[in-house]
Amino acid sequence: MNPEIARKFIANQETGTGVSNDKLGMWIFLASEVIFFAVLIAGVFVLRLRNLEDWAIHKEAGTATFLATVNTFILIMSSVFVVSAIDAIQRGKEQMMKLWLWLTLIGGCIFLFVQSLEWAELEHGLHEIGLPAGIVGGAQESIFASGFYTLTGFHGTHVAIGVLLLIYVLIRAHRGDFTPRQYNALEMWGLYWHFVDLVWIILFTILYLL
Amino acid sequence: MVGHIVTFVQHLQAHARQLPRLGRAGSAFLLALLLVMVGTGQALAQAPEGTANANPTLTTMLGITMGVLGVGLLTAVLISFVVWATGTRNPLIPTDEEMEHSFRRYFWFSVDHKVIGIQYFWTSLFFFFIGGLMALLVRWELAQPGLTFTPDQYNQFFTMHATIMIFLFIIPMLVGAFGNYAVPLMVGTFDMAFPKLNALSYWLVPPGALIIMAGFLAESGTAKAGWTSYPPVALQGGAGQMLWLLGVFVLGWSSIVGGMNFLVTIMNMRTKGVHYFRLPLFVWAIATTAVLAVLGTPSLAAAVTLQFMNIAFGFPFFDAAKGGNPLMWQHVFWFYSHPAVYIMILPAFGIVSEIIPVFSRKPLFGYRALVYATAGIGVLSFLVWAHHMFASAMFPWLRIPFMLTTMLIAVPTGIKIFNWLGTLAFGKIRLETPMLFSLALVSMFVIGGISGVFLGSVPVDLHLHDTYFVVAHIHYVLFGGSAFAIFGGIYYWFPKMFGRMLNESLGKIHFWLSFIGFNVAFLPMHAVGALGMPRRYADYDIAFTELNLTISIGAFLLGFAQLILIYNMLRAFQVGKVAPANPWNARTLEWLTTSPPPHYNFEEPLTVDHDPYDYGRRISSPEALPVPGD
Repeated sequence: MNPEIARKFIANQETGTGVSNDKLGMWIFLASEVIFFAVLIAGVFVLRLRNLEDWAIHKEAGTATFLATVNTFILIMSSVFVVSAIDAIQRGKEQMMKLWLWLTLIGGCIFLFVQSLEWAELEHGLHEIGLPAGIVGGAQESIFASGFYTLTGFHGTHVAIGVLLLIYVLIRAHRGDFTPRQYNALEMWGLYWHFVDLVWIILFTILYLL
Repeated sequence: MVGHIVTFVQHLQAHARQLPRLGRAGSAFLLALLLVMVGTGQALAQAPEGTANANPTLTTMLGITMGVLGVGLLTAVLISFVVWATGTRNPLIPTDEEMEHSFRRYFWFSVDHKVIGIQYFWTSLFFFFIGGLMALLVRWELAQPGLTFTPDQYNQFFTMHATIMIFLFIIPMLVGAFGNYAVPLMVGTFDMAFPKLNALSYWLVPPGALIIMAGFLAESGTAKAGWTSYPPVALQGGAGQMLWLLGVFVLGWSSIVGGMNFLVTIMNMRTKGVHYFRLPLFVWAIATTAVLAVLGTPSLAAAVTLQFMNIAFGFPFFDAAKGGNPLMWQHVFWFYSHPAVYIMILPAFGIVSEIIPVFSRKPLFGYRALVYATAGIGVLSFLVWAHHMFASAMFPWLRIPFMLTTMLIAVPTGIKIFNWLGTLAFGKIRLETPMLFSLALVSMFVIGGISGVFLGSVPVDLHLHDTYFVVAHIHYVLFGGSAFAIFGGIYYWFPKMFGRMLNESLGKIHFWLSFIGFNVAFLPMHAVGALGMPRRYADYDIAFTELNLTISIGAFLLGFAQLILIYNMLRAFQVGKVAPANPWNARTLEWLTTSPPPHYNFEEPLTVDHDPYDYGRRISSPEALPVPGD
């Protein structure tokens, strides 16, 4: 791509949405993600209504609400840290931005660690699914456990991808790529992270609280 | 024939231009591909015994094959990395100089939307013939009562026929090939908004296709529950079904990424003067399609995810015995797949809306009404899904609202038909091949649309559900509609894409053989369906023999006719007339540049001050006009 030619064409554009391509694309992508999670959640929720008894029994045995509450707090705080990081770079405080991003990274990693503990330790533990020999009871018999692993699994994958992308953002931050006028990658990543956080709040509500 | 191919290659070489490469992104893609393949292998190897009829030796074998492929790719990525790190030249990635005048750019990562469009074009055309071959095998079996293939093989043929035609021919051809090639040109910009994501959405198609078709290597065969994959039958599909689900998931990603790219391009990158109501109808169609792809495809992704979990890990989402609900699949699946039929037809309507004004030399009748009809179909398409489920165990009272929304969707479709007729009325009609195929769409889609209204009414549907009447309807809509528009689009845009004209006489022969073959094949299906012949059975009552033989003869004629298209294209590269910039005297922006366009589409950015269909009107600024005949 020859940036000069591209600039010439971009200078001659009809007024678009006023939102940059990157941000518009990110919002559209997130809309798509919303549908993906909405359908998964709605599917599990509809099945829950048919299996209220199973849901109640397995939920009692299969979740650790205290751990998950702590986890929820950590994830929400990490979202706050991202806002602080963006605020810091907008005011030109590069060191503060790096600090907030490191805190976010720690928050994301703790979340994943606690989540994996829950997967491994609780009654329908990780050792019971996915391996041909070990499939007994557990998720294979229970709508709650199946829904729990599917929903938290896909959410966890999104958090893990978010953490990997955050490492990329951090490398760029340490290379000094972000300035008060140019922090596009950070902002795009922030949108994604807020989305992941929001999905977790819904999952926490329907899997642990309700 | 060999001569044709050699000239074809020489032609591509002659037209090759500077190639923007994707070094790192290419390596990242290979890595992703590797993960997909290893994942497939893993999933198959770990398929629990007892669920489905997965054969453990087979799954292990498939897992090993995938693993070997994955290791090969990993080696390639490692070599690339080492070479990059040590600063020597990568033997796997050709240099710019090697690529610049080479046809190899069509086989490598390119971020030019025109190259990607052409990659999509040949890929989907290839799958058109594979899918067609499957159709002919189905018709071979059904030509006479009795069994030639086993019912199991037959189930694989019709499942793969539908899957390939929908996911690997119609959608990639309309949206991927024509959308990619034409949209940036039509809005007057230099490329798509995200060129690398554009390359990604093309390069997800071959692995998706390979994963789906890997089922042919499996002992238990490919997916065989139909392209709709209803549980509980689908849950018995084993390895082939899991491959199908994974492949559809990958193709869904391609669709979502592509849709996002189109929306941003159309919303943000129009050149000066192209406001929303100066967009050609094809661009409007692609924009609506992109909305459907972005908001509908994730629903399919969620559905195949749940079914994959059910088969691979035994999560009982669709297993009624363990608290699951098989009907839920139908709701979630059709919530995507009904919008998907509009993904397959709206761009076809768009192509026809381009072609008809050009060949009638009149402004498009009711431009705004067509725009609103397109958007209206897009919105309504999300509200009609349960009309596929009138015969299911869904709440009976739900049928009435869905019947009403289904009837309602005939209104915007009718608006389109009448607007095309209004454009044709009193026009100076030129019956060249693109126009013939467009008129075929208008007439055949009326038949398909009206049989759709039949099926949309509950009492009729309860009688005709799962008979050949449904097969007739879907083929009048998807072949009579989408495929005819694709052929029209090929004859219309081929000169722009490849710089050569297709032969008119061969085009007309192709048209008439296709048109006759199509009607001989699919018209009797209405009768045979109304008489009660169910679809998806390998054998049938002896009373249906004559009609089925007729259908099979029509199908083989239709299949043969498509070879003429291929011959015509190969011939064009050898002896075809060199295409002028604007062979059809059309007014949309893609005809303002050379055929094929230069690397950045236009020498200078354009400022547009006319509407796209101003035929026969006083023009405000002569210099903005396309040069007639060049």
